[in-house]
Amino acid sequence: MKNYIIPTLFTIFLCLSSFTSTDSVTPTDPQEPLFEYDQAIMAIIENKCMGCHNPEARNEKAREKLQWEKLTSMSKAEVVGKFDKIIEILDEGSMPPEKMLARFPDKALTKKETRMMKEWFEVMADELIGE
Amino acid sequence: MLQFFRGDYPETRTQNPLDIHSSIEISDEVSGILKSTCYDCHSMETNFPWYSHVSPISWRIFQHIEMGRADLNFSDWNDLSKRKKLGKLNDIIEELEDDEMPLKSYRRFHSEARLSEDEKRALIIWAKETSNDLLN
Repeated sequence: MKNYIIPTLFTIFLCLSSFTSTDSVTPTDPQEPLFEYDQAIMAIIENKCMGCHNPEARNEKAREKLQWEKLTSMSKAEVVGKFDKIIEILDEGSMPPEKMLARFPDKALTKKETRMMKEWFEVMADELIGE
Repeated sequence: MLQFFRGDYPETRTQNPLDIHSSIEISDEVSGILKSTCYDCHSMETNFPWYSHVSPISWRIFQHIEMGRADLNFSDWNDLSKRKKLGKLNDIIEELEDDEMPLKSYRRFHSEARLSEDEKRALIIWAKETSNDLLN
């Protein structure tokens, strides 16, 4: 009889704990976004980039390559990788694509916008790397 | 007549102290895949097959090698900043997932470059783990 008392009490304790604990019923907190877009940068993105790089865009390749909204919830390594690619593309001046600019020339990034975006992404990448 | 205009052979080097293998440990499996599938275009250790001596095929091959090295060169890996390394690893993952790499034309003539799904997965996992290690 004595041999069963302590395990029994322990089991009862565990059962009572599971009823009172809220850990199992509380949903895990959503992950904090890794970074936040600067307002001025977001304004450029919304005006010049979001048309193709959003979840509802018709251009499948653009959708798959980059969606601005998803970046904040990616892993640090993925985000820095994407930032590096964005900086490369800004350096090349290859976005928005020529075909799009032929129809919508006002979507071209100005020199100031390109410089602002490049500087911001470089700083953010360094911060994420910890440099 | 065309054989007089083969184009300039891209430089090759066997000693590459900045090669990716010198800075990170890579499993034999992944190293084998990288060297047999990627290194011809993405390193200084290119092996030129017999038909690369025949123009105009040589022009196309040399162009692929020059472009490949410009995009990604494993022989100069340690020259890259951490950010650039993460960018390249991200590119590797995306190109493999989209089946853009290895190039279809390369796979046609190099059976060892026709990656199985397991090999592709091993490379992708390696790239992701290497990316995470860079940030730790």
